[in-house]
Amino acid sequence: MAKTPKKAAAKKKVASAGKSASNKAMATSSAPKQPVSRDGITHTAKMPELRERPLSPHLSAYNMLQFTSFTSIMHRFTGVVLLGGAFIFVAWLVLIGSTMHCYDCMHAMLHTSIGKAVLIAWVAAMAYHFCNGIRHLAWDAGKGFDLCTAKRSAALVLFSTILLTVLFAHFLLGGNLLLGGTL
Amino acid sequence: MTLVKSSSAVRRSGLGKARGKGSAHDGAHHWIVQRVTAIALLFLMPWLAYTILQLFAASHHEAQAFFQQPLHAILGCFTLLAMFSHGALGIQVVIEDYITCKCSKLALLIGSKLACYAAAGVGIFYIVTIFLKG
Repeated sequence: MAKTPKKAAAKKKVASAGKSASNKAMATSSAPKQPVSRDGITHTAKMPELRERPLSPHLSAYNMLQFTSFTSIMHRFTGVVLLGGAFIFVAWLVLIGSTMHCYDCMHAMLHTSIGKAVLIAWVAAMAYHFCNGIRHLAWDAGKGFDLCTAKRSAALVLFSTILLTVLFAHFLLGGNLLLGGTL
Repeated sequence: MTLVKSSSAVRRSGLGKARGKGSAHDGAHHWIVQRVTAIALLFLMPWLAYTILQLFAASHHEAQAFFQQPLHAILGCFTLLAMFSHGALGIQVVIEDYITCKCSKLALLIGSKLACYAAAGVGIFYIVTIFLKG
């Protein structure tokens, strides 16, 4: 990487700031007259090395298990689970198209407690990915980025997931979950 | 950093050019397809939840009768297409992010794509087969 001595000195100042911060430092020092950077942080017109730069999230200092990052990790996790579920759905279709004996085997398996629990877990993952997917689409449209809204929408996603899952379980168990039915 | 225009009319920074890393120039397509399928699935997932409820209670004959209705056969095919293309793109990102070994990464990328499109094909074949039985 070719660097001017000045940039190298500026980088030394933020040596503890990690990779992404030093990238940002390079990006801002290339346009020193611009008062507001793209991330909305207003920079004073000081010399580059005197500026207070935002630090990148250090693994040691950064709280990895915040509510918002938890929802993000869960989005991936449920996505992978759902792809597995999609393959099972195809197997289900194959069995519907095949002989009655095979279908009845699977039907009996699904109607055990474990079968029902797996179906409900699958739909719970679906409900979560669905609700959080709407949140992601809103972000893609540039809406709801501030921390307060992100936390509130995360809570809404969790609430909706539980609501949808309970609703599904209620119907799956023949409409008697809310009346004291069991798996 | 100044932007340089290369012979292939691809604009990238001088540093980016020197490093030879960065965009593979098809990321936007991945991003757009992921969103388009997501929007399709917004409408198709409620149908899938309804279908699971119907199929769960159905006998073999009733399950076949369900997919012999044109609406459900069509929505079933759409769902498989959207679900597996969305899933293939999603699992691609997960593999690219978490698998560091180049060999297994490539194998998993190819394998996951093949598995997704094969499963979608098999599923659509069976929906059509069930539909034509009616």
